[in-house]
This record gives sequence, structure tokens and C-alpha cells, in this order.
Amino acid sequence: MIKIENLSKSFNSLRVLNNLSLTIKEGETKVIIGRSGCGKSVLLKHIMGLIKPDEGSIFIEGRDITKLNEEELKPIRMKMALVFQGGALFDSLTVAENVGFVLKEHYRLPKEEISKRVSEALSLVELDRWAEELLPNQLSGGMKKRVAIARAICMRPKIILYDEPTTGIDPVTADSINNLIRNLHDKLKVTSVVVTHDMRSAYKIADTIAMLHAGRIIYEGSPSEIQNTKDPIVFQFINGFSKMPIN
Amino acid sequence: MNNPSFFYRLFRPILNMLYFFGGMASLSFKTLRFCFVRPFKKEAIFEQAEKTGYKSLPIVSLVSIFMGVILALQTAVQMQRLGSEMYIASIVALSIVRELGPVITALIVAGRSGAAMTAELGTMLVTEQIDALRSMAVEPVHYLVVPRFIGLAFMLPLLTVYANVIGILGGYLICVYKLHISSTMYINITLEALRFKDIFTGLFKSLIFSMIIVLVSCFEAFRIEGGAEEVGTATRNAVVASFILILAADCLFTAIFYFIFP
Repeated sequence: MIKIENLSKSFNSLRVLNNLSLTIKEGETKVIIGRSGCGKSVLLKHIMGLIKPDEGSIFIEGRDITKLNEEELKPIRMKMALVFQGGALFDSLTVAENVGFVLKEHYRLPKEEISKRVSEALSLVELDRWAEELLPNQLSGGMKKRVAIARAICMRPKIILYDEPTTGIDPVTADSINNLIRNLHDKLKVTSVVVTHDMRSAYKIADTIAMLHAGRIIYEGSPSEIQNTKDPIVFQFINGFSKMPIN
Repeated sequence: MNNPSFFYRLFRPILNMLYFFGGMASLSFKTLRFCFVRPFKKEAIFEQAEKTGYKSLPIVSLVSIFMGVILALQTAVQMQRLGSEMYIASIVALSIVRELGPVITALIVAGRSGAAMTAELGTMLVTEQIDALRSMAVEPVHYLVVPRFIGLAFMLPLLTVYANVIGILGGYLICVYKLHISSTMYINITLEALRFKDIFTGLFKSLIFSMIIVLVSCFEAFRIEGGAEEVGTATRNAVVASFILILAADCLFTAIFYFIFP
């Protein structure tokens, strides 16, 4: 469903992605792990077409999105959703307006239908109706992430990209978000790409885990395979050791 | 001389200026194109008109009344020497309607609403809300710039008319209550002095100023690369650039109108 071939991207003189290749199958939950600043979020933004690569291709349902302009990207973006690290909720809109934003902008649905779909999305992320009228600045970090996920699923995408969904929230809330991502995958059969450096989260939600290091994917395998890896860089990262190959 | 950083330092201001005008031209075309693309955002346009226009009324009132009072007092000093106090009304009216009303109102709105636009859109950019719009297949220029552009294009000329009336009222207060010119005479001289072209040129300029304010403010916000500090810098740059471009446009259009309507 998503095929990335020889993707490279530099910012000024810093090469963030270096000939990266990766394939994500339909219905799969692929978790991309790696150290902070290694280019995980940059990779997600490339998949969404928000950043153009210096070299390489990204095929989504067979179309190379790196060759498309903003207008041509719109129908592809309508099939995808990106859950941003900080939520990226619109400050001036209520929770309900944020969640129903795409329905209002792109589909001429009656207000009652939008309201029904918003309530459904919020109940899927275990948020009650009372939260609908709150503004983003009245929400906790965990609630913001839930609302961002609700906004993503409200448009019924085929692909959901999650940028660090459990970063900056307490372990209990993080676990409920992991369950949520897993449930959404099981219920909605969406293809998911999750970038994280939270290994507990990675083991819980992944079908396969890929490690990004020095701009490329250096390892790919199932959660059980990666836990038994002999690769020193992957071993160091998943066990959180400060001294070994990664300086 | 072979040091590349020397050339970089030498040409950087020129490149920055080219980048600014190129970016402004691109944003202008995009904004004008999206003004005619559905869905039309009526609610957002009214919201922006209220924010930038209606809520600017107190500050515009205050500045305009002071402007009229100061202009009348300064003119009175010279006119009294010549014994021509009756001309104060026409000088005040023409100065305000042709020049001071449109320019001062535009500068107030650039400082108040233009700065707020840059800060708001800049914050949206650094918190990834603009990326969120794009990821949801919503064009940021259509959603964010067009309502501000249309809202201010309606409101700045209206604010200018309001500022003109209040400014002339300031002059009236000085002439009638301080210089003891009769109220009827002041009003008659003012109405006789003003012609359609004076009002038209002032309002046309205010329409151009509204475009400058919105496009500069939004452009400065969209080119932020960084965090909160950059938002502050962009806001300052937007106000400075708006002020300079408003005065340059005023100079240009005053010269053009001088030759068209001598």
C-alpha cells in the first residue's frame, strides 16, 4: 500500500534521510522506532506529502506522490490522516468542531449527520459528550491526543499516521492510547504507521517494527524478532543503554 | 574577495528583498484566485471583519479626533496671521479625506490587526496547525488568508470613512468652540471643499492598504522557520514592512492621482 524507495532529504547541510526504503502492507501496523531527531517525523511528513524529498519516490496505492502538486495530492490526502505529536488541534475551534472539521470542509453533510459522526468518533476514543464544547487549551495532554485521533478517524481514512502518540503522557494514559490504536486497527482495518521511541508502545501495537538510524532503515522484524536481535545498535536502543555503538 | 561569505553578506539583503517581493507576488495571485473558489467562507469573513474593523473603532476614534484637533490648531496659527480662519475647515477636510484619514487608519490597523494576524498564523505554523490543514486537504491560503483579505478589504474603507468624519468633527470642535467660527459656516465650507474625487482617491488608497496589510502579515507568518522567538520577529517585520509599503503606495497613488485628476 505504501512503498518508499531510496528517499533522501537534507536540511541545510544535515542529511536526515539517506536512501531510505520501506514497504508498508495494506492493513499492517508498522512501528518505526529510532532516537529523537533521527528523522521519524520527517519521514511521516514525506508520506503525507507535506515535505518534498530531495531524491526518491513514495508510492501510495501505486501513485508516486513526490511527483504530485498540492491540488493533485488532495484526493490522496483524503484517504489518509496524520495524528500530530502535539495534536495540532485548531485553537479557536471546540473539540466537536475540530473532530468534525473535515466533514464540514469537504462533505456537504447536514449538521445532524456531522454531530452524529463526531459523537461516534469521540466515543471510539472514549471521550464523553461533555468534552465536545471544550476548547483545546482546556484539555489535558492525553485528551488532546485522543481528540487528535478522533479527528483522524472521523474522516474514515484508509491509512493513519501517528507521530509519537504516547510521548509526554503518563503511563496509564499511554497504555489506553496503545489499546485505542490497536482497537482501531482491529475494528476499522486501517493501515497504520506509528513513529515512536516508546518501546512498550511499539511491542504492544506493532505487526512489524522498523528501526531508523543514520537516515535509513537498519532493521525490520516482528516485535518478538526485534527483542531477540543481535544487531548491536538495535539492541542498545530497545534496551535503552547509553554506552555502546550509538554515541 | 574570494571568500564566499563576503558575497553572501553583500548580496543577502538583495536576495532577501527579491524573496520577499517574489513571495508576496505568489501569495497575492494565490489569494485572488482563491477568492473565487468555493466554499465561500461567509462566517469567517464576518468574524474577521468584526475583529479587524468593528473592534478597531475605539482606537480609530481616539486617534482621528486628536488628528482633527491638532490639524485645526496648527492650521489656525498660520491662518490667523493671514486673517483667513475660514479656510481652516477646507484645509482640515481635504487633508483628512485625501491623506491623513486613509494613511493613519491603515497604520493603526497594520499595527493592531496586522500584527495580530502574523502572531496568530505564526503560532498556528509552529504548532503544526497549518500542516494539519494541508494534511486534511484544506488549502491554508483559502481557509486562512482569503477571509482576512475580503474582511479587511470591506472594513478598512469603512473605517476610513468613519475616521474622516471623526477627524473633521475634531476640527469642527476647535473652529466652533475655540475660534468661534459659526457651525453652519464650518459645515458649508467643508462640504463645498470636498469633491467626489477626494473621497474616491482616499477610499481607493485604503483598499490598496488593506491588501498590503493582509498579504504582508500573512506572508511573514507563513515564512517562519522556528519557534516562538521567530513568531515575535515575524510580527515585528510584518508591522515594519506594512508601514513602509503603505507609505510607499500612498506616495505612488498620490502621484498617479495628481496626474489623472490634476
